[in-house]
Amino acid sequence: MPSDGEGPKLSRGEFGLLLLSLLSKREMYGYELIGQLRATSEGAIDLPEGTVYPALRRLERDGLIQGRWETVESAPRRRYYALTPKGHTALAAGRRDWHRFRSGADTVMGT
Amino acid sequence: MTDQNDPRVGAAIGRLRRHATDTVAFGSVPASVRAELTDEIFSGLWDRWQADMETGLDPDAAASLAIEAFGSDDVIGRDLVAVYRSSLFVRTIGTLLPHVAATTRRWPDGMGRVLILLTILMLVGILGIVNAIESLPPTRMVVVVALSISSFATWALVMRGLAKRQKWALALARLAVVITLGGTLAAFAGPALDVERLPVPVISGVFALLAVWPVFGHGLAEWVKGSIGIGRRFGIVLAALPLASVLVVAAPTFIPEVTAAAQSDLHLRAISTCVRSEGVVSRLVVTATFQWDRLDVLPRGTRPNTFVADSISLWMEGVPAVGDLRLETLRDGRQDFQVFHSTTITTGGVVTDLFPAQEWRDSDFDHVTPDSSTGYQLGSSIALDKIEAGQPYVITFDTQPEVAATAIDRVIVTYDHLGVFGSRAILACDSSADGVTIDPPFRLP
Repeated sequence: MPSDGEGPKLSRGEFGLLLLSLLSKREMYGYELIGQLRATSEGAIDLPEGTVYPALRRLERDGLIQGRWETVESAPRRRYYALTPKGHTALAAGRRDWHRFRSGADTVMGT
Repeated sequence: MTDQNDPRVGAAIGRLRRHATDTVAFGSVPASVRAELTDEIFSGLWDRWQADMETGLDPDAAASLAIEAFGSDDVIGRDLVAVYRSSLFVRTIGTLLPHVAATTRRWPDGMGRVLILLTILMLVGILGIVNAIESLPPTRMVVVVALSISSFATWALVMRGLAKRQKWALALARLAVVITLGGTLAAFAGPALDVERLPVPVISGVFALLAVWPVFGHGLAEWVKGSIGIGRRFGIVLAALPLASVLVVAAPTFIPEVTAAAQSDLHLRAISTCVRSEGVVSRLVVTATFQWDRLDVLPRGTRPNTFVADSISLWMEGVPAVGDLRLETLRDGRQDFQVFHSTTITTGGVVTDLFPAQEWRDSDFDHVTPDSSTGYQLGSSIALDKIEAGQPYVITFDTQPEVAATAIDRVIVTYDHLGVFGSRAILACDSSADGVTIDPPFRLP
């Protein structure tokens, strides 16, 4: 299949796993997360910034992260997110699955 | 640092806030989290805006860039719908009534009139149904109420859909007007659409509907032009929904009423005895016995203080006419008409009234009997609230013709149950007969 130039698309689950992974390092807020994602992936993952909010709310709904509000001087308040114990477990399982998938995919592609 | 006194800053912040609000609105987010989610999204837009202004962009350009980088409000909103709403909601309400951005919410000309028209149609329908269900028996009442609720829910959905610029809603609104127009004409003018039978208010209503019809045209078509299709399956379901409105009207006539007595529950038997004196009939005694196996749970629905009565009548043919008595005189309700003397005997006191004997001519029944042009009828009312199922009731008509007859050709006893169905026994002098089921109109055989 020829490339459309946009690269592979992230699924909802993969995007969630990436967010969990970033949040496992420290608490972060939405805008910061999308910036980290862009920077850490060296621009390979560059999503519309708004997509982070539904993903964060889904993870919070599922009990994998927990949000808290923090007041910021001269700016609107921010909502910081941190991993819950359930989130840590889910991240560990997700990483295992991801490694297995990537290893299989690499073998198939001969890379 | 942002200069809050700069009008360009205020305008840019307003744009960012609006984008956050619209995104959340597109997401059909529950009211409990709407405000804080809007704050969170606004906070993200603000951070991006600040970052862009630090590169030297003016507030407005930075706001545009922040909004563009954030993504379209309807696309992000759709992601939020999936977080906060069930898949059923997404596939139904989310599809039928998607959020409309604030900037495109201004109603077109005629929209207000259409909504007022639909509201009036709904209110008239509600009044009509409330009035009608009072007199319905239980099963039909439940069916009519259920159909009415689905019907009104449909029209409420249509009105909401129209306000949300949905093409399907406009199609159903047009259908509502056509159904109302057709239904009203059919109800008043009859199947042959006899215009002369239409009362003035109905004619006025029809003209009012026709006057409003043009607003359904170009303006509203343009209004709903951008709506996304709802899919064939949904379309079929929606197209079928207005059927509920039609069925509300038709349902009472075809739904079997399990709580009401049926024709097979009524039993009637009549015996006649002719007393002769010097070769002529001087007295006719007819004894009618009727019995109900079961009775209606609610004979006249829930309508309070409604007197309900059946009637049982005796028709005699072959008795000579009384000469100069005129039909008009009888119709005036003369109680002392002396063609027959009649005594009524009952068991259980179920007879509430005795109809005076009356002379009837064939034309009164729209019927021609080959051997008789005149008959006499008398009868009585039977209070249904005094009847008990399984109990036989006897009514005796003891009649004495003032004009002597050599024979009574035919005696007919008719039991009329609320004009819905009845039983009829036909007999001659000194004979007996069982009643057979008859349907209205109860004309003579």
